[in-house]
Amino acid sequence: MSLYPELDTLSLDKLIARFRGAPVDGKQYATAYYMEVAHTIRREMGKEGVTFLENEFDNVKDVPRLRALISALAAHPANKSLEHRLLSLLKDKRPLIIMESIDGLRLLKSRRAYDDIKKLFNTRSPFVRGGVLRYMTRLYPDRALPLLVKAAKDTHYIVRQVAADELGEIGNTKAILYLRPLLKDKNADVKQAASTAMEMFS
Amino acid sequence: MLKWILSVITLIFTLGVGFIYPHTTAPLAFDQNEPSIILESNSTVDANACRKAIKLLTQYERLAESQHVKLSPSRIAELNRLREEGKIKSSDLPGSLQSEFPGQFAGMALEKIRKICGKQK
Repeated sequence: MSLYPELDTLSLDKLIARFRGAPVDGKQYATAYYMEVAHTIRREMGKEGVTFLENEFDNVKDVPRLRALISALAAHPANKSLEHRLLSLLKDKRPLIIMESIDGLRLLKSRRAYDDIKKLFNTRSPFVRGGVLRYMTRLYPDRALPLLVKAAKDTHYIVRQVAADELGEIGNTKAILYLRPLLKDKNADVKQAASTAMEMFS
Repeated sequence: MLKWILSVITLIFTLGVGFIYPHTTAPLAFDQNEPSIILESNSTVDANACRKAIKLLTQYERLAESQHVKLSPSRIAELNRLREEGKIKSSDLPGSLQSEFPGQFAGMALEKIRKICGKQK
């Protein structure tokens, strides 16, 4: 089964129609829906599916569909052209596209944009800052701690939550010191992330 | 006569091995339909992979939202039901979270992962 089981048995043509059609659960859930359609195409439809997703990259303008394409193609990369596309999307004006591109580059294990991505930690969007933390922790765990320490005190709960999750991933016992205050955070998700991260050291 | 003796010895040896080592007749460890066999016979299951898999299978809602992926109430309700029954698998998760899932537990239900990892519900 999948998150949208109704997609599981569809042909490529029908999945394409779904990707180009309206989201089933409403606009506010569009990203989850289009991601599921794109991942299903990538996972189940072989080369034809990849070709559709890659070609669609040039046609799609809206954020949910573009994010879906990045997510699906980066999860199962087929060729090198995706890395170039994602590197150029780091300069996009839409924060969620930047975040998705950072996450895509992380999945591709691309180290070509280390400096550019690190600078993006200074942007206003908490989601971009979260993406930077995930990228740094997974690709540069030895250098990520100072950034995570700073992020653990961020004013936005999304950044503190990601910092807690990533402090659990870093494999450095120094992280425990910075996780403790987050166990008492005012936001429930941050507390849960910190508590789960602490278990990584038990 | 010699042939007959050799046959008897071969039969006794075969039965003996089957009796002493019954697992030799069990499905092979690399049977793709039984991915858990590999892990169950492997004493060095990665504890961090265990925790990561369980985290993704239980905290999907907040993890998806931290990437600005909002799940509809009906999808969340279904995921919660599967989680409470211990039947949720990586394939039930949003695609963005599946990419993070430890490969060795792919396709396995939460209940089974907890069992392998020695965790209690």
